[in-house]
Amino acid sequence: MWRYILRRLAQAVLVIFGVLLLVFVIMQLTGDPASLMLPPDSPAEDIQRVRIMYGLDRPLYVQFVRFLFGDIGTREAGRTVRTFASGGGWLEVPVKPRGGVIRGDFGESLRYREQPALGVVLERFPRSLELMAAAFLYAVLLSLVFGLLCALRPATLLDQGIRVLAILGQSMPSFWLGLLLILVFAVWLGWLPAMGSGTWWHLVMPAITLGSLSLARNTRLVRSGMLDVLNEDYVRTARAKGLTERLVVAKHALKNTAIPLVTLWGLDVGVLFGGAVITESIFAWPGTGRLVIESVTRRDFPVVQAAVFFIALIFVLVNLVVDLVYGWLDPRVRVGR
Amino acid sequence: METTDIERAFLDKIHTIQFSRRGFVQVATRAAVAAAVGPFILPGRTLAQAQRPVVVIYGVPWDTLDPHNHIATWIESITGNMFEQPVEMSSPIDPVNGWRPLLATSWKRLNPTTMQFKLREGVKFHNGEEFTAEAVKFTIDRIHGRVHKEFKGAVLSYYRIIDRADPVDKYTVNVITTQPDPILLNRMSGFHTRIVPPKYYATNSLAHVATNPVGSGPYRFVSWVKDGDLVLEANEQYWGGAPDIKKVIFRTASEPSVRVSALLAADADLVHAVPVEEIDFINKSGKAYVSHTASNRVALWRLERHKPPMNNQKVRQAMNYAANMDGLLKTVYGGMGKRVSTMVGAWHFGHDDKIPFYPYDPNKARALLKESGVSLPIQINVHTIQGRYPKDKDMAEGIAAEVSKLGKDYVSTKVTVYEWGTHLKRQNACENDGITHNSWGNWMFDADMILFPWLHTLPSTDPGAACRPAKPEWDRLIDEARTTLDQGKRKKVYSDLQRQLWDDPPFIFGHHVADIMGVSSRLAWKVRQDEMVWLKEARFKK
Amino acid sequence: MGELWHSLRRGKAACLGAAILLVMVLSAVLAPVVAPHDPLQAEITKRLRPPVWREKGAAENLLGSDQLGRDVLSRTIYGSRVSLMVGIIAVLISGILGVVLGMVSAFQGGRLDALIMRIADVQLAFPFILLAIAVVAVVGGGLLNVILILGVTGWVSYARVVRSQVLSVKEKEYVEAARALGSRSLVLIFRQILPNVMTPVIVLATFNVASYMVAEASLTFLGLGVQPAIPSWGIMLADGREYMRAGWWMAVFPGLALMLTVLSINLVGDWLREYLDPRLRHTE
Repeated sequence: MWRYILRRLAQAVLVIFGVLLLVFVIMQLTGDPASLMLPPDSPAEDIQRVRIMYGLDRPLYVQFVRFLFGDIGTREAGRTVRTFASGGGWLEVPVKPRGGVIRGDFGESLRYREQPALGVVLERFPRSLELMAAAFLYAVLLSLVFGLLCALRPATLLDQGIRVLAILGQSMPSFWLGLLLILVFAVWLGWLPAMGSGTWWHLVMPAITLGSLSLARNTRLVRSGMLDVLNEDYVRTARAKGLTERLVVAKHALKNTAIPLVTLWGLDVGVLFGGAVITESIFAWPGTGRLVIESVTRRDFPVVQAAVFFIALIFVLVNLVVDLVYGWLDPRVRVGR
Repeated sequence: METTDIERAFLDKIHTIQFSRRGFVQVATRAAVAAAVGPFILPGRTLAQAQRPVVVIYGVPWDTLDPHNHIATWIESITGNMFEQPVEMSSPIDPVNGWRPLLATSWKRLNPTTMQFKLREGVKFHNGEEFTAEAVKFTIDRIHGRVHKEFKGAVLSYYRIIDRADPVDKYTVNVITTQPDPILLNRMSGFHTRIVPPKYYATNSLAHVATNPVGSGPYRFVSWVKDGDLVLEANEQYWGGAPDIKKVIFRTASEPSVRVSALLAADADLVHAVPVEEIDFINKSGKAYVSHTASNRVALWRLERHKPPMNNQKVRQAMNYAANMDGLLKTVYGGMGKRVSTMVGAWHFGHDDKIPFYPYDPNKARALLKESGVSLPIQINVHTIQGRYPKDKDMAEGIAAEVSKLGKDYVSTKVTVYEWGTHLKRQNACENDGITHNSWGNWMFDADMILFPWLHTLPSTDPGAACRPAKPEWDRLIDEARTTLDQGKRKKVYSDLQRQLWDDPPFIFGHHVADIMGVSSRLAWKVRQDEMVWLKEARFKK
Repeated sequence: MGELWHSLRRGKAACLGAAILLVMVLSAVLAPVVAPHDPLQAEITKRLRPPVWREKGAAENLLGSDQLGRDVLSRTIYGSRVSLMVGIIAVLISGILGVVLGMVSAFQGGRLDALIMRIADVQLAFPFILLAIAVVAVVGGGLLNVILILGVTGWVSYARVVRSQVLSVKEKEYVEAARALGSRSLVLIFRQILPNVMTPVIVLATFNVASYMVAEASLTFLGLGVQPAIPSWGIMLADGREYMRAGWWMAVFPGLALMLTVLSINLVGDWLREYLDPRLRHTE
């Protein structure tokens, strides 16, 4: 078992490396951040100065190595670069030092001037976690209840009603749901604050907005999973043996439904991160989702890299745990490895 | 396959699920009860109106509170509540007579490159440091990188001309420019001339001062959560008297309808960039009202003259005749804004009201296209951004639609929307053809500040150099106007230049962008023309 | 075939779904014939007209006009083209990619399995929105790019579901029996395993057709979607959000169209699922 976990951890490191490489390359393709840090009509000298300062003038592979391992041991540390000044003569530009990912230093944010990128991300994460946890609980628990209700009484009015609701939930873009909620609960009824964060009240609408897609999807899958299982031979056998319906559901059906659901929940973490971008933008929630989109549009490479690293790390760890639980629930999978 | 092992494992699992469900039910019940009674007991909603902090909502976030390390008018606006500069512009704007003393009490030119400022006495920064001539010298040194080697002002390109500030005595300072500067006073009215306390900004790290600003203004810094709340409180020792509003919170909400909703739900007091269609609704709500003006920002659509079909002067003229700017302003823009005859705004120095607006004349446009000699129909690409400025995309689509109305035999148009960074990158690389959306906040209120950056030929290494008009005559006029101190002569030069622009249009000439703000009924406030939101100008209604 | 028809007729909900879907598909195909106006033709003097039954409405714009005076009905009709195209093509891309990779992964096992699953992990751990922005920044927005972004990033859930299904089906008695009888693995895959793993794939795919249509709207909301030169429901919804009070019809009608389509796809998908799974057919 421990060997298995170790191997999975090694794989996780590989995945994180893949993510880092991907985000590095992709951000490079999106353009030069220096021109976004200066007025649009800036002379070449100013742009070059910013590029040198943040190490953006170096060849790509040097940038990547510095990104991963920092300055120490290379000739980069404390470097000063001389460049042509527009008025003639030379300009001395100090290069900002880098510690590298291995020391937890992703560099300084280009947007939040002078602030360490990882710090900016970590500062924001608790707010996202709060929102995602609320949305996750809302989605998972309600979906179990709805899914069970549907599966136990298939083709009834209740079943149909919940299914249509679930489908409508899926068919409404979350930005619309969010805007409608604000209109109803903040403007018309005046019950909840329209935006911002701080109190529990602020959490209600964003959590519903963020969780609704997962809720709809999970309800559907719990229902179909339960229906599948209820038709399996062993459940029929259990029924035939005269076990009460509730016992059948609790002992056999739920268990076998839960196994694939656990994987789904793991994936939901990713869905929630994606949804958080939109939800946090609408409700002005100061979390990582909003940070990521703001940082990408501003080409804040260090913060994007730090945020993606962090999100990926969490995602990989969550799914590692999910896989372990999955293997533990369903020994066939473990044997299969 | 149902071994007892799994069953036990699963039952364990079930227990934990039930456990968390029980927890959730408790929380949910509490939440439901609270939601039902909340409106009656929520703190803040029952407090006296005047005690609630004033909440200001912008559509865009701010990155730093260092007054010298940003390039954005909205950050200038926010930091303007904490920092002050030597002179201040009145609203409505008047670039000749509108200058008001702020940290300086009077000024005079000693010679073409020296201006002497007498400074206000007895002003203290929020940390107790005294404001003196040394602070002015320190500020100018700071933006030039003479304080921290690794720091230079972000908009230094507009301030290089100020060489240094020499203190004469404690409250007198001489500002020296590298060449005669007709708009030195304009430069002393913000951005890099926001004065900072020397000791604090010299001894603290750049990271620290970026998040812990200390100025001399009517509000002092309390706290800032990035992309979240920025909290300010009144500076009771302010030299101009303590402001009426004691606590201010700045927030960001990128969705316009959310900002309006927050205003109507009494979660906000001042909201920025209200959609024109919401104005009536807000005014009729009884909870808030709208204050709007044509702002200092000018929207204009660049005709990409380095590529066909816009390399033809007659085609460029035709575009101006066909765009129906008046019609678009009246409809899509809701009657807001204000047309600009060329590039220089109505109250900017150098504006000439004898220069007419291009009339809407589709027949003339068709005739010009025929005369132009290009093979018809031409394909015109319209490149725009979305949501950064009021109605940016709608106006671009509107222009495209109006131009299309010339007929399929003449033109076909295609609108493409870019994300902001890509838009800038394409412009710097001169990748666009056809028409490109542009917007320019002329925060010096002077023709030079829009003509030089958009028309003057750039060194070939500079980004965007390849798509400049590169007309020596225009360069000459611009240079002439920016180096003479004779304002009468400058005015004349700008008139000449604008007539030439009208004849050989580098843009579809646009309009002042509307600045539309929603204000809660408890506040008395009027929107400024220069995009600044200064809370010292707001009052609680009695 | 007769059996299929019989089953289809039995499910009334499915019939309703199929009917709506048929209307949507027809209006997409016949848009130039059905739509009363050119969906791109703007007339600013006729902007923000309410639907015909409201005060100030005009018969010219049955469902009202938008902020530039374009006909909402015509745009909604044309919009079905984009939405259906995005949904279907993207699902085909991601479904085929995912099923193939999932099967390969499950059957080959070993290094290839590990590699595919690591790539899947990277893909999943990488925020989708970032990829979307990057693609838009590099190659620009537009219909094709939206389809590609959705299609290429969507394969993982198929691969994972197929892989886990195959792993659990592989050991089942009938597969074991077939293998014992000497079936070749290809035959085995098509005869025994594929039908058994297709049920969850179809559930996923129907859901995804619908969710990709919604995703197109969300991408447009973030300014990363289809370009305005092509009318899409996503653009209409995103544009309409600024006019929720002044012109609710701008968003309500494309929104309704989107919901109806999603609903009908799901109804048909549910029926298809029950039809494909013989065990369900006999019990319900």
